[in-house]
Amino acid sequence: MKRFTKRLFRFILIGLIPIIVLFLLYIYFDPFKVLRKYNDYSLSYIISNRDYISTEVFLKRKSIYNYNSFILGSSRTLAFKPEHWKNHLENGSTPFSFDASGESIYGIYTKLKFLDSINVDIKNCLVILCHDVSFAHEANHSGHLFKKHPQISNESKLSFQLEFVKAYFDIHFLINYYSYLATKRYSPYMKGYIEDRKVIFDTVTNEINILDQEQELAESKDKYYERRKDIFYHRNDEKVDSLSRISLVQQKMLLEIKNIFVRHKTNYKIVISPLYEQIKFNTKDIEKLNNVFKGKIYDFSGKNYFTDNKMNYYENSHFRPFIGDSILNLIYKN
Amino acid sequence: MFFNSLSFAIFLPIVFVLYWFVVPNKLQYKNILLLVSSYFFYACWDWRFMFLLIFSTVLDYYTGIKMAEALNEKSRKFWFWLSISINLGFLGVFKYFNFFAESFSSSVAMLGFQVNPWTLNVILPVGISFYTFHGLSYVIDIYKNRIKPERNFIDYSLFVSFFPLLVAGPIERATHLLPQIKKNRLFDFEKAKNGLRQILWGLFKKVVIADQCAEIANQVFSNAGEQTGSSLLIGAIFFTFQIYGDFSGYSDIALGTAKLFGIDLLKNFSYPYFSRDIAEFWRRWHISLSTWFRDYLYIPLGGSKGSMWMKVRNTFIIFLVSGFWHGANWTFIAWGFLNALYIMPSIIFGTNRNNVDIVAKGKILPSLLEVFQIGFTFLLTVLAWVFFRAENITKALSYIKGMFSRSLFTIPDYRPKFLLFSIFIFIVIEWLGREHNFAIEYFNPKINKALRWSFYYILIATIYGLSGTKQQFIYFQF
Repeated sequence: MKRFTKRLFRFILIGLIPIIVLFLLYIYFDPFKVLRKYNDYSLSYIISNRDYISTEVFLKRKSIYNYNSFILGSSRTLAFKPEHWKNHLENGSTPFSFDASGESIYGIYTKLKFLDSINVDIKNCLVILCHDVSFAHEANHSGHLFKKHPQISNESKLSFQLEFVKAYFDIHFLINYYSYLATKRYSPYMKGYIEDRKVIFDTVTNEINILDQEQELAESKDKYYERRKDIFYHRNDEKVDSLSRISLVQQKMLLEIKNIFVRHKTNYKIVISPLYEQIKFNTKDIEKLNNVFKGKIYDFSGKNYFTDNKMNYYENSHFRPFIGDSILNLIYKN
Repeated sequence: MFFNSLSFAIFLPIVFVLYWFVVPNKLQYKNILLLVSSYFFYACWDWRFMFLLIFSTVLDYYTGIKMAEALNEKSRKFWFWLSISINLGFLGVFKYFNFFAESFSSSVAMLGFQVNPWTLNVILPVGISFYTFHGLSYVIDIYKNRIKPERNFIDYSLFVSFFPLLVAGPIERATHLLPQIKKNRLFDFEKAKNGLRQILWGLFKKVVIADQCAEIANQVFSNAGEQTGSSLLIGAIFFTFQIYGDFSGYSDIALGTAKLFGIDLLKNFSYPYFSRDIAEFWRRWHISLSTWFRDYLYIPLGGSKGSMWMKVRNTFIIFLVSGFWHGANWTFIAWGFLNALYIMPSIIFGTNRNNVDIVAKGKILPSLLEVFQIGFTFLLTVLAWVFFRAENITKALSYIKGMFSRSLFTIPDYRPKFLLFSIFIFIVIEWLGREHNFAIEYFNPKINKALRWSFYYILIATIYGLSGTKQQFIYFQF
């Protein structure tokens, strides 16, 4: 028995050595940038947790810039530039892009609740909704790319950090990460783990700029869309989302959001994104939104001027900033 | 609590430490600990079915004693049939009631009558087919005067409920397991070491082979109508590896776990895909079930003695019953029927025991004839597994029809390089270890420790790396 336990322990200890080494390297490299504070989260070669970055930038700079205007929603908010939005707002408005990857109504609600709890004046708010992600979750996401900053979710810091440790020890991540670290070259097999684009996060407004994408478009629009012709699939006639996605729990969140807006006398607008897929937002869901936010809903989903032209999009998911500008002009014209 | 879950990875070491270090070194204490652990393990699945398990245990324990104490044959028969009918009754209600009700309704509908079948809205208690068969073999053995009834209730309960075999076998016999339960078990270094190795190999089979194959097989079978013939063939081959990796992997983990407590369970698999004919395949696949049917059904029916008609009839009966044992669906019966057809020539010509030893014993490579025989047998099993996997007979037939279309000779849509590489390595290791109880037992004396340990670490890393796509063990549904 003694021999067995001794040998088993020796086997386990030897097996633990590479795990300990990898863990020490994790602490040293901090691949997800969640262990230490950074002045700038731009140009990371690891796909990052956008919610964490947004919250960290906000916490670091809120006392300097006194943000009072917020753009909330998923990565599709990148079409709405805080500086452009500012032109439509009253003097003294300081906009901040408080977005997150795959942001759900839970994320929007918890962010507003957080701002309210720390007595931030929510003077203006632009909420960007879409039928496929906004109502997909009623609670915090799992997965290191989506889990909310602990200060937003009020969940434990340990469980938040563990999510990243788990993601790091995914064998695919380890292979991709260390291959990239060793070669400094992006290969197609690294897709989903290594960032192949140059992504800049503005250190003041937190807006996202994808440099190489813009550069490629500036060089030749035709070539840009020719290279991505497989992404822009053929669309038929407009379809209406047959599923009503807003649950009772989410309806309660919408009411809470409305209460926060009322308390802060917020000038808010809710935009339903013009998505390439041209699926019209479910009519029952529009009704539910209108019941809470009457006169504040601007629906650009389905087949329309914005969604018809593929050149209005970076790919089949994100529309471009000039579309965001046109939407802002339309909704703020009065 | 799956064998490949974190909860089992916590449960097993705790029971192991309690068993060898904490509980006093007395047989009865050790058996009580194993029994409590087994009931806890079972309750983790669904505590409500614990009562069914305990009732079945009490029934067989009591009727066993009553049969032995019976003063006359009539009374013995009464207790025997009481136990058999209640055991089969439970199995019938929980596993087959809906099948019979629905089949009756469709047959009547064919005659022009409309009957809405009254079905039961109950889930199948996990492991019911396995522990019922434990109990049945025990009661039959007492009735046939092969064994004496067990008087110690704890020991008997442990025989029925020992956690490594409780939910998916191997189907044990009282003559094999009860003597081990009743004998004081001392720690055996070699046995425990082998147990851990067998668990590791079982996990590799399950997580790396079965679960990865399942992803492709599920995709192909769920969209069979849209697949090319070659993709359908690939899907069926992946399912063939999936079911082997899944069930033999489970059995390896069960056998390895039992070894950690000093108990040897019956071997359930012996490299079935290296069989040279179907008869050999059935001596190597799910051995504990095949031998159960042989001893408790085939031989009592007359076995291979008697006329040719008797042999043919008995063979069809055990294959059909074996198919039906797997589940209440015509697909399983068709699977059994097809296997009976496959084996029939060897029964008729008396060649069913031509290949008893493992293929190419003592040699590194098989002969060309053996390669052809193995390949042909493998293809027959691939076809039969289509029935096992399909949702219904119509889908199975259209799957096979699609497979043998012109597009069979096109390049398949599914070519997962890493999985194909894993399967290749798996086949090589199984081939090298085919004369041993489990494949990597072969490595023990032949390879130096550093290489051996490195190999184990690679296995662990691969299992860890691929453990994200967890699938349920197929045989848990039976």
